Amino acid sequence: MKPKKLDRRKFLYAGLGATVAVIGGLAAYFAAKPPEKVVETVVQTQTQTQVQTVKETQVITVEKPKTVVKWPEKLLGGGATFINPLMQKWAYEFQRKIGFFGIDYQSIGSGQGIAKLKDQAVDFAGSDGPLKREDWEALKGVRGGVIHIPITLGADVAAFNLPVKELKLTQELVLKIFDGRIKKWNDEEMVTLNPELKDHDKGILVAYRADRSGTTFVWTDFLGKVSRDKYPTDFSFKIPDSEEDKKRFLGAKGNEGVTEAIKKTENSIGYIELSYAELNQLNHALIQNKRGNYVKASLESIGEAVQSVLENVKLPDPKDDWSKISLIRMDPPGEKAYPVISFSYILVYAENPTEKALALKEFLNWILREGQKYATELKGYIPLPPKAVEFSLKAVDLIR
Amino acid sequence: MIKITTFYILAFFTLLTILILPFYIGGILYGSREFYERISFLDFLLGKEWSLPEQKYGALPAIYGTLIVAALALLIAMPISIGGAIALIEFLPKRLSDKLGIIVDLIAVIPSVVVGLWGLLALGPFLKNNLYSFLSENLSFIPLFQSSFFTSYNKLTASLVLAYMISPFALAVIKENLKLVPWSIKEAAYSLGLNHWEVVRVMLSYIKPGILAAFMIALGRAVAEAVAVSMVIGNTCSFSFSLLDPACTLSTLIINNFAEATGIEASALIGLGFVLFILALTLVILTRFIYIKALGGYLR
Repeated sequence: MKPKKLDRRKFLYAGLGATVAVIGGLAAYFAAKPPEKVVETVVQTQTQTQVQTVKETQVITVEKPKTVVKWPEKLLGGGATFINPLMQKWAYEFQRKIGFFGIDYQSIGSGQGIAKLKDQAVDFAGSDGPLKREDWEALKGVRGGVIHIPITLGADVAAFNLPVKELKLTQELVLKIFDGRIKKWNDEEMVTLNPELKDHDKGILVAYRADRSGTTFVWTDFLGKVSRDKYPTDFSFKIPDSEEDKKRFLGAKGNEGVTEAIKKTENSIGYIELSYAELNQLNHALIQNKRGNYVKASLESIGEAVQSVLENVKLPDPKDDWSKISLIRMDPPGEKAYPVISFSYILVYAENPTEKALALKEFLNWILREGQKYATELKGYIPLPPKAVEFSLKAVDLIR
Repeated sequence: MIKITTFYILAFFTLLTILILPFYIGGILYGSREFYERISFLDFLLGKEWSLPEQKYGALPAIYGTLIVAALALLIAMPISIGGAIALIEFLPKRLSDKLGIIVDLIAVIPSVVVGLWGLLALGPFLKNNLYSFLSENLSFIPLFQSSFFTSYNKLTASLVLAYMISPFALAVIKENLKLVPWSIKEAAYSLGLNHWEVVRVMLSYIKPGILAAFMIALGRAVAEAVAVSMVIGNTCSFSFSLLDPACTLSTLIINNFAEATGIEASALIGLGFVLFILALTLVILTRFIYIKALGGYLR
């Protein structure tokens, strides 16, 4: 058979069709693509203390010279799991209400967060504790050093499962229970404070966090303070050395796990975040504070603790070595101050690319001014008292 | 020609699985290099203390915990699997056994985190109130059940949860092997005048390699399972002999600490991974050796 002759006209039509399709496709693609993410906003540089930001959709009447701000697409953060729910809430609300840029926070743990900050893979890190001394020294010269910004508060409580409703503990007793020295509930020292336990001849079961966590760091910081650093402060809990005592120590994963262990095990005591005790209606112990009063953890007693520390002690410069700084070790002097509390920090470099610096300031200022109210809304977080907010705002100002 | 091509393709993939192994071991060793600069492998392997805050890295308590929990789980799971497989194939009516077989297979695909939660929230508290209190009150003269503290977080709960997880796997393997016993063998056994049970015994000896395979699969899972075990074992590393005391295993230590670990700690945990690998390898080799030498088994 003779091969068919190629029809030129057909080719022409096909080519035309293809061209139209491609152009149409491209047009559709660009039409569907969202407009450039960079939102230009005008920041009025007036003499007001608060920086006013106005969206471009609004009609702007400005007399003073204006600067056009270019926002980055998003801020990258990572670190502590403790602040994650709050951070996600902040990110969501910030995007909804202000919305210049997105915030992407990954809950990878304080240690990983700091490691990522070291690698400069994130714009900010969340951490349950301050930088370790060696980390601080290593980062001192990098991009102007790292700034510590207290962002929210946490408190650990000693939740227990006992037939009694109230348990009073001195700080020394807390240490002795958690390092295994007091083995029974009707130990003499326990009974003098809690006469109800006189006939409760049962071994003390201690529930602790088996995974590394900021909760443990806060609790062991407290134990370390009371024991004059004989007990190691770390992200892991140290179980007693003796085989006999080890039997009384139960490790569980996460605050949920420890809560569950305390709930399901009679005669147990364990440390958890305040919110978990509240949500699960677990009783938690009254701990003696510096003034000698026995105080139960609550929003008020924690607020007073922080306020009383800030009134009496001067916090170091946000860029200094914070490794030795802890609210616990400052021993809150307030009358009704609960002693086992800690700051959660945002760590940022002092020097950032211009866009990022502006975005960081914008976001962190918003968290400190507007965002603190979500702390109470979410339960488990304690809003920073005014003095602490003031301090943190100054720290944010150091970002360049 | 086609045959040769097929051969090369198959050979390539077989070799690939073997060739990955050195990279795997190399990766683990590389990941933990920082650690071995600080501590020799032998000190690590035979160290009696594991404590991250004090920077004591000894794998022995975790090895001990792993072995005890895995052994106990196998001890519980293997008879159940063998018995269950026999019941399904030989004694139950076919329609029922088909349906039960599907259910058993379904149990095998329950994610371990779900089994762990079940162990934590339901099985553990139930056992604590009914079994453990009985054991520690009446049988405490046996060192295995000596404990004065009632908790559901212990080796026995972990073993039971593990047994529940591994038995469907072992059962499925044994069941399929039983199905494949040739009729000629059964007929020969019956014609010799053996009763049903005796025929089953003949069948079991015929499928010894299958039982070995089932055992190996169960062993592998029992040694390596982390998620479910970490929820119920209590996570306190100790050499306590009592089954009612908490313990830790190699894989639970890794899963508990790895997420937040950095530097030397991460390195130590990868080291634990290597120990786990060696342990599993040793156990597999040992099982095969015992099977061939002591039990007179043969390998197909």
